[in-house]
Amino acid sequence: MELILKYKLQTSRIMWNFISTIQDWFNDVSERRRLIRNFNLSAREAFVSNLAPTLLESSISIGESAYKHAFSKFMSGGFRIKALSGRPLNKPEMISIAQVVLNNQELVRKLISLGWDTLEIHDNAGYNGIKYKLYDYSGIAGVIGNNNY
Amino acid sequence: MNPLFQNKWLIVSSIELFVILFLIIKLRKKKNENTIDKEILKSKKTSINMSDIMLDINLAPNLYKKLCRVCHPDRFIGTFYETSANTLFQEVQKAENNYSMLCELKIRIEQELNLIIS
Repeated sequence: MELILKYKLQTSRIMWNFISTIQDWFNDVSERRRLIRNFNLSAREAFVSNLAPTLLESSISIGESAYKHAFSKFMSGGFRIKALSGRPLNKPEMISIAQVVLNNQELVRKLISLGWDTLEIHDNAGYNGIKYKLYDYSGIAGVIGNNNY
Repeated sequence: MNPLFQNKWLIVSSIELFVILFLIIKLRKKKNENTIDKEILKSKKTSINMSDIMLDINLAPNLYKKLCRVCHPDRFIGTFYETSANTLFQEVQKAENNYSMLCELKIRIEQELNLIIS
């Protein structure tokens, strides 16, 4: 009798865990979309109000498989920022955009927790871009890096 | 009842049991997750002001260059403001990509070094 009860409890726990993971997945998807929408909206506002010389646009990309971590999402681990500059951006310009994101530790941690692992900076005219491993800029990469997942 | 049929169900139930055991072990492992992982998961709920980030991207580089030029310690060698220029320059370098911090530093530079920055 006790065994049956234990078995039932365990199966209900597993089912509950399964349901909560599904719920978390949906929450993550909506949170990711909200972050991207907010970024695009504020970039548009900055461009319209003449604060920004170029219009930035963020989107989700596949990402770099070598940069994966424990929380990265399957086939959508890249956070791509595209600069609609009309001309190819040079390397320092791309680095300066990336540095702002990478130096903001709160943003980097949020991106990691929402399943992103790669930060990509591109322009709309050229073929060049840069990729960064977000994990290295979270501020705790040294500690997490020792664990094997 | 056919004994073969009974065996089939025994095999199925044993496989089920193994699957459940595997899931339970996985659950227990998850419970012992690193506290650092939990810290990262907590940051899901933090709200980030994207307009600040836009300011950091677009306005911070120019202000940083201007402040670096204005409060460079070489300009104050042998003067009363030498030490404060040194500390302010270091703080400006730390806040390279933070527009709000740079604005605060601009006010401090104006007050401490007696300068007017346009």
